[in-house]
Amino acid sequence: MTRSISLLLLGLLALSAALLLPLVSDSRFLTLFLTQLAVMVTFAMSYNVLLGQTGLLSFGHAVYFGGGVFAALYLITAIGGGALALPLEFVPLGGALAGLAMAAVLGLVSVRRAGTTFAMISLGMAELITAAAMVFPSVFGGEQGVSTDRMVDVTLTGLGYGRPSEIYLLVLVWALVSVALMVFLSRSPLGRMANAVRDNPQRVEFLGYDPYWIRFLQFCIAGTFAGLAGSLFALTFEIANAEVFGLRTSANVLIATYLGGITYVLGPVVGAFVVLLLELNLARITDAWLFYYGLLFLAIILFAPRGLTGILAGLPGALRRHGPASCLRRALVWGPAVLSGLVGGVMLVELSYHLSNSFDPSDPLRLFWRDVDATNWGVWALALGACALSAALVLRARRGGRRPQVVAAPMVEEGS
Amino acid sequence: MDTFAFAVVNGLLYGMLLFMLASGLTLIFSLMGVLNFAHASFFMLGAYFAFQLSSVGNFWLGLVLAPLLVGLLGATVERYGLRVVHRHGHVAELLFTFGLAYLIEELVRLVWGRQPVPYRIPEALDFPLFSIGGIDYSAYRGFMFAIAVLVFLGLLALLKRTRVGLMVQAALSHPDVLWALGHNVPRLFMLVFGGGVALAGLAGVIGGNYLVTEPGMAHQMGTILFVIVVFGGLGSLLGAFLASILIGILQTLMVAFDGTLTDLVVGLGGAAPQATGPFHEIWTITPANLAPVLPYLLLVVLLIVRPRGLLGTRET
Amino acid sequence: MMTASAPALSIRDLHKDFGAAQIIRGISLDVREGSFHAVIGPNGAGKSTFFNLISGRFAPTSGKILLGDTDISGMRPYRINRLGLSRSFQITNIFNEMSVFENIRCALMWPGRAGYCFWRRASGYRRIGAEAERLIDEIGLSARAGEKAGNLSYAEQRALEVGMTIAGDARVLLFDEPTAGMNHNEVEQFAGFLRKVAVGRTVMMVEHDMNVVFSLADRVSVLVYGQIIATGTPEEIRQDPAVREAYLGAEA
Repeated sequence: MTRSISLLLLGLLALSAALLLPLVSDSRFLTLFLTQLAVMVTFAMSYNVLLGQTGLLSFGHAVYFGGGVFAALYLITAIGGGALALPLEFVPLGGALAGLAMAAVLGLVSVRRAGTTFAMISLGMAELITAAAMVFPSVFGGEQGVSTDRMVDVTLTGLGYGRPSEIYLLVLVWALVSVALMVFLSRSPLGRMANAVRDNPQRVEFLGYDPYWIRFLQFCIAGTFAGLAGSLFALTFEIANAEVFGLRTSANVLIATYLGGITYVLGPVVGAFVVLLLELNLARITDAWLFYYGLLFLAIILFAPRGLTGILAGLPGALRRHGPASCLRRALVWGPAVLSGLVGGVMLVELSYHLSNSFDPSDPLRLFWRDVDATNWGVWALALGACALSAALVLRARRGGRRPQVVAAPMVEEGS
Repeated sequence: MDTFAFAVVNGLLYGMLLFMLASGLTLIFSLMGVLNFAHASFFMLGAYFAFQLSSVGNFWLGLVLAPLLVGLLGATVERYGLRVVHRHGHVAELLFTFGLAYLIEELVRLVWGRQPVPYRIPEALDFPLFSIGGIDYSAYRGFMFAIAVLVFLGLLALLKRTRVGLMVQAALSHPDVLWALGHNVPRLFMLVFGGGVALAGLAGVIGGNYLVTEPGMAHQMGTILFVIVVFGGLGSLLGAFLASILIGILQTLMVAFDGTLTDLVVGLGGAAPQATGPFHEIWTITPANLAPVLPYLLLVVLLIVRPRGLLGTRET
Repeated sequence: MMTASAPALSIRDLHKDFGAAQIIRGISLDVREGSFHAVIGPNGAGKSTFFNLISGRFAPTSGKILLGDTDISGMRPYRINRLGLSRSFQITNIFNEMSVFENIRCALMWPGRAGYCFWRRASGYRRIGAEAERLIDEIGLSARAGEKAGNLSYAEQRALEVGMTIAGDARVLLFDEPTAGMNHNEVEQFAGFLRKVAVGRTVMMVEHDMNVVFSLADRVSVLVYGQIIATGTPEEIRQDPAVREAYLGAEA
């Protein structure tokens, strides 16, 4: 017990050290990464208020994020121009209010039904808002977008917020407050009843609650924090155009949240971290990173519906149940199969991408730390060979792993 | 008047094309409860496959092979993807097809690049069929129309005359009855998913060169498609048909006409409003500007007034 | 026994059609305060539909349902529940992803005046928490309180279902086949539990097991093809020739 508490303390200490690093370090990359992470975590957590807690799959959460973005952009400009005597630190409140207002209006129509209908309405709403925003460049700035300058005179702390580390501090504080609030809300009676609505809305009706009203309130909470996240985005980047409302933004937060694991309160934090890491690192190495990203998402849906957090959380239990020796054996059987498949797959993807998208296909392609010629059949053969090897290894591993599955089957029957 | 007639004919054609997609989507939804988010992605694959096949052989090869390939791919996806996530419920299935749409779009970018590909109308059909008021109506449009009508009739015959069709019909009206009948339901699912997706592929083959074959076409078509099936009432074939034609004609008509609120105000004898300030564009928007917004506006209004859709009976 | 107290539940000429099919064809019935009233009848007689009408899942085609003095016909289920009528389901209807404790606590939230509150923690409602623990003890699931409801055995899930129904002191309880799918021992145990629960409340129950019906109920109604053909004490129902012919005879 004491050991786990000291471990927790150590972890917290390490986390706060990492979070405060940008204040002393000069690394712009690290500062920007952590700022973006804070924005993304807030946004993903707000999305999970819908998906994980209430069981509402939305394809239009970017609408409320975007509302916060533009509200904040105009607020900052108004403060800078002296039209408004609000300290810059309180701009996120404006973003939250904008998100809340939009969610309250659009939510009335959206949450009448759950499931597929809700998903489709959210998509329709998002397309409507995006298309409408494109029609009004006077407000949303068209292609160039709307920009602002966050270096204003009215601040609470006296900080100028010109330096990335200063704005990082502001974003971090708001993100931490938001996350704490959302965790608190998930434990309130409303949060608990939202879980009940997610599991079985019909039963909730017979316990004195109106599922529509629960969904609506949760929708408003999600919208509020999405708006707040949007304002943090605006404070960080000081520019945005109407595309922020679009499906790409919504898809991004959906994928990040789901990758992290929607059944865990802090799953979206893990998801946001991984997605941002992939985005910033993978995008520098390969142009096909979105493809890998989509592949990872599909793999998680198919094989690990509890997300990356679920995999991590399941590891200690699996170790205890099967013993370290058995786990190691399985890793040794599956490891090479997965690895060779990954290598072969990545080679195929990179080669075909190079062939179809580069100016001159015979230009050398940097692949696994070596220059290769994509027009050379040998490389392709190698890639296909790795894939074939992987398939053979998977087949063998499955044959070896069939026995424990048979033992497990009756247990499932009993439980259901 | 001629522009009007022309727009209606074009709108009807576009509507028929939409219905080729919407019918498959509706059948899949009624039977399996899955709204296939990737439906338009299979439409896109149909177009790209046809382009590839026509650059190797000719258009007719693509016309025959591409839908088959897409259907085969669809059946595989159903067997090894959808069926796996089925036990996690409809939200998981919807998520899966969403991820699939995402992946297919990236795959297309990967293989064929970001720019539109030169998928062209076959030369044999590249001549004016007739002309109204000096505007030519191309033979290829007539050909598309014929295919769409053939598909429509074929679908009707399939549903009314065959055993599979009867089972699908039974499932359309009473979703639970299928399991009670004790047929091979998983195989039926695979068949209908593959078939519906093949239909989308066929629409891609004949529509890809009429529209533009590029990686964004799935998203563009997909969202309109969802508007249609929700608008028509989830699960209603007739509703999907009416909604397809309605939206097809409406969108084409709006692009064909111009005129703004300013024109209206001036026409009524008022002074032209000042074009400054936020939202000033409202005075200068043409119907063509509004064409992309309209389907969603219709959808939202309909959902407020009649959540079941045009002809739907089910609400979820 | 035959005092003239007002009925807890009063049904007046209730009809329900689904399209052309008339499922409930004119039911009138008074359920006295404090009685244990069983509804029996052959399969497809409309017993479940009858319960669904009373609890608000379906709106009646015509007719009235009075809970005390309040007309509840056509009301949404959550409003009927707030007026003091609670029901269980024939097919177990619980929150699978949540723990046993959470399931029971959800059922106590509204009666415990937690409402849609989001500014307090759920665990801050001490009375609700204590009542949940007491109730879990009563239904014999104390050892499983932390377990996910979806992982419980069938009999345990049935107990949880009934536990959620009786939570919150509703005056009128509807049990839809509470012992369905249980084995003999479990049924006996469960009947004893139901008897305890019924004390001080008005209970209506649809049940197939005649032993349970005749050991628990003080009034029995026989529903056949959407109409009640007889109502009386268990003894009277046993003797009624029409009932014997329509139902009990066919059963034996």
